[in-house]
Amino acid sequence: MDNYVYFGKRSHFSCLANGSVQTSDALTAANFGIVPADFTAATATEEAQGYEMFIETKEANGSTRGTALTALGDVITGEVKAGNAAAKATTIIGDVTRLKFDTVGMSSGVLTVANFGADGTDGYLVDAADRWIIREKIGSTNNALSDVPAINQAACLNMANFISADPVDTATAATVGIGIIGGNADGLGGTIADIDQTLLSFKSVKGDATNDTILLTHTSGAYKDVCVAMEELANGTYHRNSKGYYTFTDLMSGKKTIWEQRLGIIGCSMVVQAV
Amino acid sequence: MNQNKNFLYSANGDDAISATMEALMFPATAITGMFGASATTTNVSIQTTTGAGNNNHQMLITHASLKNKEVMNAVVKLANSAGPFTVISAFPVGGPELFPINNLDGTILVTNIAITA
Repeated sequence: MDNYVYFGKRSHFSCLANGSVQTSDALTAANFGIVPADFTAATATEEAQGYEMFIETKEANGSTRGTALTALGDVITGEVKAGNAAAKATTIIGDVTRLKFDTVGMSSGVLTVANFGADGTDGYLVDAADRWIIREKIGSTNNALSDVPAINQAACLNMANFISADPVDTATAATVGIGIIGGNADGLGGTIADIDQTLLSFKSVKGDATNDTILLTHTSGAYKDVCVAMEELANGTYHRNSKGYYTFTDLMSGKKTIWEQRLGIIGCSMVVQAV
Repeated sequence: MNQNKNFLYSANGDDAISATMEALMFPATAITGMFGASATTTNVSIQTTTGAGNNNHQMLITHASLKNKEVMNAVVKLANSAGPFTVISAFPVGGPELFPINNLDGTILVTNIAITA
């Protein structure tokens, strides 16, 4: 008798805009669970594309944010900036702006946004100190980025095959870890906070030499608590007095499991070897 | 407490079990993991019994649409049942294929279980 744990995904990624500032770092299978399909900037909804893109302002700048982005209101506070055109285009530290696909393209996992100078409506002039957040959209209609059953969308794993929990580097400039904690499904009412990530490794479901991995994004400082949770799941006697089936994460359902609540889990992606 | 090892049994095809992967019996603890393969199929991986290659055996369960999570739950219930010989699917001689797994959840409506090496 063994305990089995269900992991449902919702990919999450963040990075510092420290390179070519109009582009994000590359989304990969390892850091996002999937490389979203290439997309040339055009009118599209987040639901159709399957993910949301945010910029957190870390340096106040004028002539930065397009009028259509300003009109969406701040992601966290909902405030729509008032004033003249120049004031509306100015960002201040702490602003969180939702980007639109009208000026954002995806190529090989890299997002590129047109700058404000090129598009004063939907563009955004990214500062090197700004930070990107990209996460899967709940309610997506993109089958590759949703909860439609397929490999790497969800997995139920035998805890007897659990190998390790390793902290992931989110502390250096290049791998800055931030996320929107709390708030509604769109982030309204939440807060921007540091996050940590933990990589869970399991013996391959397929049976080959490559481990299957689960990447959890959770509250900063919760690594040890994740380890304790894994120990509980592996050694718990649930299978002896009941069925031994735990739902650890089910983020795309929009509901919160006890583990998501306890560990502040906001992201989960996985790489399971195809059978 | 029951100390017997629980073995799971699944047959697919017909009542005359005579071909490789037409049926399989394996210890419940050999299930390494499961994932939804599509809206109507869920894949169960079983530690290989042949030792051939690196790949585990796969049991593909066909079921009602979007019941993947419930099917995984039902498989775990069977795996963690007292056993010691637990039938997931079987062919009574001369009869249609039976799916006792459906008794655990009336909504999953399993209609086929295919096993591949």
